[in-house]
Amino acid sequence: MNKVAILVDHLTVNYGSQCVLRDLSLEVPVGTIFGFLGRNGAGKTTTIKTLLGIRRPTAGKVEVLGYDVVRQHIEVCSHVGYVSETHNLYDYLNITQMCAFCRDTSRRWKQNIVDTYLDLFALPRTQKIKQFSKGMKTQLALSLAMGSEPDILILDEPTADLDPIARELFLHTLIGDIAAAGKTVFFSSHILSDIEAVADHVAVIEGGRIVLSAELDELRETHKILRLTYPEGLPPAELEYLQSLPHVSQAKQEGQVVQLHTTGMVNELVSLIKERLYPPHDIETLHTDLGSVLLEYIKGIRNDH
Amino acid sequence: MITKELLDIRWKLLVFALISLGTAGFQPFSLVSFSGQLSGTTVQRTSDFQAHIWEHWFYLSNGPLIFLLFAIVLGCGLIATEVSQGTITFLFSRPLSRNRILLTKYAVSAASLLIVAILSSIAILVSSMILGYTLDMIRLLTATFLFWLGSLTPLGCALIFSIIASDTLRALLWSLLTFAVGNVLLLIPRWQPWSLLYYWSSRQSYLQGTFPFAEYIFCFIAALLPLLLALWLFHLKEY
Amino acid sequence: MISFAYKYTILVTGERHVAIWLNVNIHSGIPIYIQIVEQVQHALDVGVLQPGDYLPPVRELASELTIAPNTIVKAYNELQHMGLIESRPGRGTIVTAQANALRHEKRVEALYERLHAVVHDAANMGIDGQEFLAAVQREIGSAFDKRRELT
Repeated sequence: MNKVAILVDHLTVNYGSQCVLRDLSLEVPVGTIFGFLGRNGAGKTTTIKTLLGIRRPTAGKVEVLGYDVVRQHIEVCSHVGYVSETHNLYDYLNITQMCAFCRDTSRRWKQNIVDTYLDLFALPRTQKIKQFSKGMKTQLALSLAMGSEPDILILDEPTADLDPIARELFLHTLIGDIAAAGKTVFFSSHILSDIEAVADHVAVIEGGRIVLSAELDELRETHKILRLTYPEGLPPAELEYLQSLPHVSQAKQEGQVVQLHTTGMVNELVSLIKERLYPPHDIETLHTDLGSVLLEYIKGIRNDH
Repeated sequence: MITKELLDIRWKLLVFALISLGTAGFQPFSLVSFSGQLSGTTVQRTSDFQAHIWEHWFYLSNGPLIFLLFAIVLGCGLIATEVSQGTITFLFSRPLSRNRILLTKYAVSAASLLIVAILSSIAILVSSMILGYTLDMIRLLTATFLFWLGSLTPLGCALIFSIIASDTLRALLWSLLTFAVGNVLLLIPRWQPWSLLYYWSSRQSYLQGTFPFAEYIFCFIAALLPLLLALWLFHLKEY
Repeated sequence: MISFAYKYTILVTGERHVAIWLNVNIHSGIPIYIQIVEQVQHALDVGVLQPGDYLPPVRELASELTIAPNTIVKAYNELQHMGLIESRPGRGTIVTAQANALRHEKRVEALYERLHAVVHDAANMGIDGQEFLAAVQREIGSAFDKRRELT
């Protein structure tokens, strides 16, 4: 049993003369809810298209569930459930016809599973998809994706067009039914709060490269703010020293207070600082807002690699 | 997938079927009313009638024009429409090879062309019978199949444009332009033997009752080449 | 027989809650699995959870809190490592018989650590040693007397 659901190894994708993905490497463990963050144009959709074998890598290797996406594209697609960001399904079909299409183009198809989801989302079977709202289309896309009993679900901005109630239902379903059944979920999103809440792993893509790949709880543990108080003031050299310490991404001083943003080894840093010639009068360890940490990685301010 | 393709082209199919059947079915009536009573003995009249039918349906003005447009319209929409609507990503995410996708689409269009061609010939037959003329079934059938085979070439060419163009309209314009230019070039007598139309229609064999082997082969190759090129291009194209 | 740990609260809307004594704050910056571990420990300390109670299944809890099942699994693994819960195949995750005893041990440890901190803080603040000792004795007197009265 493969422990890695998705393996991307030094992937480069060029679109004409433009380099969209540069030497990108990523590992998605089986059974995780993996969030893929990045701003528009960073390369999220291209990465997903490459995973599905729609875009060919210029260089590098990509494997999904152990299958090479270029040479074993059909195997990959038969084990993957895909929900597209534009969720453009065939407008002129209704749900019943859509299910028939999916059944005909799938290796295995369980209509009863699809029906369960269709009933959950209360989608009308005989109405043309043209008349569906964007939210309904997303729900339909998810229902259809589950029909082939995929081992991994790949979603491209799934909650972007959902109203709060539909979004909650979507996330509950994703977690309670899909992730809890052991399926791997890989979803790209620009909605930080979704990733913060739902994902257990996150990767950030910026400029065609992965700038962060970590477990969310690990990020919470390692990214802290150390608040140091120096009532007698701080020599400038000391601030430089603090800035140069390993796992310190930022050092800001305002009057008597110095704030250090850490990326790890918090306890060691605290010990180190206490032993300085000019130790602070007080050291506080504060939790950071994960959302703002991720945002900094997205903006390219931080870089883990 | 076949059902979905059929549903996709249902309106085009309906419109062209009506036009084709209407035009074809009308031919016998137009001949009789236009040229008045055909003179001569029964045999001569029949063979004249048959020749007239050939000239007014299988050659130039009606049949080929209608089917050329039909094939181009069908072909252009096959890939370009899915790309412009965004459904191509969904299609590619299914566990299907690109070859299977393209061949299924092509097959559905080709089958539609065949069915309409056969129905049109039936319409001619029925109209002729109403007027009291009988037609040689074998010759009619041979001509119909050759006619259909010839229409696969514009289908294939339109498919190529559908793959390389960014939207349906562009594909349509390029296809029409190509065939318009092609037709103009082929008006030059020296180029006649290369004219698809020349083989498509096969006047001699139709009139003489011989089986148009050469014409079938030519049309088959002419239909196959664009299809193969389309398959190759579809493999290369990045979406 | 419904375990006390499962508070199936049927609200006006008819919603069912699995363990309303568990809340996680995704924005707090504290790893979620640690929040769950701490809250289970607290539930044991205050008696909401008793030995023999079943914890909510991973799937339901994940769905309820809208967090990744892996995070719940991590928390449960940690609690299992501490000896507070154990997994019964086919039946679920149950609070162990020794859970209360283990928690008591840990709380006593934590108490002595707090004592150490208080005493050293007092020293650092410059409080007089004798005054401090007298204050401690006063507290001991009133607290332990109260306990004697209650038993």
